[in-house]
Amino acid sequence: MGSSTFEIGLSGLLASQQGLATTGHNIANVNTPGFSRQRVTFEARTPQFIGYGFVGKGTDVQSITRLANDFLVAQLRNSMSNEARAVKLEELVGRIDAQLGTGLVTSGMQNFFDSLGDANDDPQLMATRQVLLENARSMVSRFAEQESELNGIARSVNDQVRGTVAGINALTSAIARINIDISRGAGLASGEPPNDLLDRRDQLLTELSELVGVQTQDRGDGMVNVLLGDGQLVVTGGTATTLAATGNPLDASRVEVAYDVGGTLSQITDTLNGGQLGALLEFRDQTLEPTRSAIGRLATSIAITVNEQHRQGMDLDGVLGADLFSVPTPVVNAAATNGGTVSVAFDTANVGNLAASDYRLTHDGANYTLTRLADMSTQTLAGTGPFAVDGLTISVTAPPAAGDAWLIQPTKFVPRTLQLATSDPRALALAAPVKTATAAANIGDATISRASILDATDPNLLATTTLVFNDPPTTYQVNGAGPAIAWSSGGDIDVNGWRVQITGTVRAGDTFTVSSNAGGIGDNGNGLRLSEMQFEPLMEGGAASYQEAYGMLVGAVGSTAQQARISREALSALSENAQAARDALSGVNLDEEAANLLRFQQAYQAAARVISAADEAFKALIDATRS
Amino acid sequence: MRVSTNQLYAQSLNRMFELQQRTVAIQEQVASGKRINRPGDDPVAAAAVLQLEERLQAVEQFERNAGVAEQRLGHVDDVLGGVSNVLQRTRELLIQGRSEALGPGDRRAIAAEVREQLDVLVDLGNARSASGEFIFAGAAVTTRPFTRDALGNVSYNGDQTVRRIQVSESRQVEESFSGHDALMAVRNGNGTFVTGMNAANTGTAQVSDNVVVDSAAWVDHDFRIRFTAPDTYEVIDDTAGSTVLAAQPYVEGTAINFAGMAVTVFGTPAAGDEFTVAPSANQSMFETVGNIATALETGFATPAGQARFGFDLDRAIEDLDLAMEQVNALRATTGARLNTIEGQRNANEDARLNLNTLRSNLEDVDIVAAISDLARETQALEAAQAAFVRVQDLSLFNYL
Repeated sequence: MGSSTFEIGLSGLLASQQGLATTGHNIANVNTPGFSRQRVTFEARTPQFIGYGFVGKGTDVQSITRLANDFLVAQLRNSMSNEARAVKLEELVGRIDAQLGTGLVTSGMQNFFDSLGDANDDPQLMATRQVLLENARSMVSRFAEQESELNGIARSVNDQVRGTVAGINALTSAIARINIDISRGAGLASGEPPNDLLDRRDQLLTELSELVGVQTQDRGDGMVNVLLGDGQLVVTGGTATTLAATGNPLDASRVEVAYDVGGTLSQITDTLNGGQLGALLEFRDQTLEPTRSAIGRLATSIAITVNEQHRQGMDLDGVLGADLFSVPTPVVNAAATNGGTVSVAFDTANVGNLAASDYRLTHDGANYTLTRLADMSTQTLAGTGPFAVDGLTISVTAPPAAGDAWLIQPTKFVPRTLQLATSDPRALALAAPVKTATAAANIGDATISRASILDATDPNLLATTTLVFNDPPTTYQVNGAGPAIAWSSGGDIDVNGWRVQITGTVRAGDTFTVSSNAGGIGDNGNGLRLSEMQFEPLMEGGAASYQEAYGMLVGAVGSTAQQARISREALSALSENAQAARDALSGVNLDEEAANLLRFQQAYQAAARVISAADEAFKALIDATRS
Repeated sequence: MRVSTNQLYAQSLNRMFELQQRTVAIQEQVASGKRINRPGDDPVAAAAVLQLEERLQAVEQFERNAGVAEQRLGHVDDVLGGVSNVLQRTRELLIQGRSEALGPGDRRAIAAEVREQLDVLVDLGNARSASGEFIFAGAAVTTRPFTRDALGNVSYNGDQTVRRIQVSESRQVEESFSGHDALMAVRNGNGTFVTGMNAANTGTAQVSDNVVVDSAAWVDHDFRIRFTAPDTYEVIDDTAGSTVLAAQPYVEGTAINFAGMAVTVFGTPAAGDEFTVAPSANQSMFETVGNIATALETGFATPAGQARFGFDLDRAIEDLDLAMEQVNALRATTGARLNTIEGQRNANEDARLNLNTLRSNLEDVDIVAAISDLARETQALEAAQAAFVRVQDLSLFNYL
């Protein structure tokens, strides 16, 4: 009897010790991320049947289990992944949002048009022309600064993609190693869970899902497989497949993510989503690159439309206006394997149709397919071109082969190299190229309007042209020769690339002259036209002015920023809830552990008391037999 | 529900972070005075504010332009006032010089003063703006617009382009007149037709009182009134090559009517004397004034010469009156433009206020509300901090 009481007491002592140890383990890990509190389960030993009944034999530690629920853990992991994505997205979009909010570009544009207004008041003054030229230069450099800021963000995104890929690789190989540890663990066979290893793997998986969206598959052998968004396995049991960050073959400035199988890279960027990496890629494709294209498009549109108008004017030296801005041609990146070549130019007449996007052009052996990357809309271009699309002209300069691919970046890089084409304030073509005059000897009271320019490239634009009325004065002749042309008061008279109207009554012999405006240095005819362009709908296919187009960009980026913030707030709350749900089950509560400490301490003391009681009983028996 | 110890920390911390974020956001609003500090704060309003700012800046530019135009038109009006004075003075001198009581010396003295007025007129035509540009040279602002040749004839060297100033998004105002339109292109005669006296006339008749009696019947042909005898005349249409009135009896002082016009011949014509009637053409103010000086200088020595002298001065009064009318019309136009600008400046000012109010409504923070929000958030933050400290103090271990 004595020995069995000893046994029972001892079993209680050992069980309480285990309880104390586990409580201590819980307390020690109170701040360990991902740790699940553990609990010792006790079990009464199989009793011994003795004639009168079953005699208890003390207790055994049945198992030490962690209080974890796979569903709660998965939910937490999922919500942490979403939150990490939202936090990263908010941070990234916020950078652009703050960038555009500085008004760098918009004040540059405004200053340009303001100084144009001043120059129109005094076009003959070199001072106003100089200021206008400086403001044009400043506008251009503000576009360049804006692009440089955005490019800085793009580089930082690339760095972060590389860093995240490295982080993913470190985590997947750690998960693979821990998979092996778990599967080789001694307890697994007997159904005892390696609690701390499981916690650690859960934690690694959570960290991984914060970097990129993943799914897990339980293999049933204690190991899990980890899959990326589209089902690519990155951890297969004990093996991890590495990802690589690599340059885009068509755009070296863009880092892509590839699946690295034995050194063979296959690009999987487009299939990734979720987590910080998902946020980086989403931000790059949906906010950063479109913003850069939009800023570039604005610069391109202003430069080309102003150039077009500027060429319709005359400078201080009586010379027709040249380009005010030198606009770089669209960037075309050809794949190394291409057979054919294409060249792309801005379609100056349709520059209002430019889209804020890059394009991918491919050839399937028969036709070209052009994909506008901003909205992924595609169109098939049959034939050999040139093709006019979205304010661009695509010309085929060498016949294509099937599989040829190009990346066309029409506007994105324009701000980097956009420049003023002149540094001479005299070259600003603020005057109209031709002037009109009524002959002093005219008898009729008809007046001739200012000339509007239909075609500034007409070789005879500046030639002195007389319109002489015949008798009866219902017709006129140009330069006193040629056919008699019917005239009606106020009707359009189009000659040599210009248009005038003669309004009033004319008499036979009345003469009107249109001639070069050389010397008309105080004229602001073309300057006023340039000024008017500020409010003309010259972008978005004729739907928006420059400033409106910029406003649309700011509105779009602002909305994205607002959405990102709202979604981050919501997802943070969800993630807090998921954390609370998980912690309610698995988190350590120090008060609880303190109580357990007392409980096991007392049980230990009681068990010790049992042993000492048995010892005393045994001693009493010994003493009795001795006497 | 169980609460883990970490949850106690995490929850309190999250709450404090949240409150701190809100406090900082309100603080930023109060410091900048703006509700929108980056587009993401209110994307729709931010885009609208951009448009409003562009309009505001443009309105300010239009204001500057309007100020320039106002100043320049004011100057033009002053100069035209000077022109008006010259014409007025010349007319007085002409009336004076016409008196038959004057001798040739007296007329020459008056003629000298008319010449001086002509000099003043040329100077006025060459008036410059404050920055040194000729205001009547059209766009050729550095070209002296009016110069005189050796014979004293004034020619115009500018062009006919008049600079416009943008005073609103849709309105441009011409800031001056070209010298051609202002001083050169003045109709002569009565504005519709002009009479002439054949240089070979030997009689003492002259023609005057030229009026249009029926503008519908008027044709722009060159006519000739020819005296076939001292008491008989005919009217010939030289343009059509036909005779309009044949062999009419001449009665001094009785109007001769043809083609909607009425002219009256006074005096005694000689056979073969001719008077021409032609459509009005342009004649510069300089020529008009110069003609007066020349007529006064020439004077007369014979009865026939006196008739010519009288005719020339009658013609000159017609021309001068039309020139006056033109100057008045130009000044009226200037006044109308100044009114337009004034109205536009008022409209611009209204627009500016309006745009500012709109922008302020969209963008500016309600400071009172923001400060009370700030007080509320800081209070909540303090409460959260106090609660955190209290809760963290509670632990069973304190009692072990």
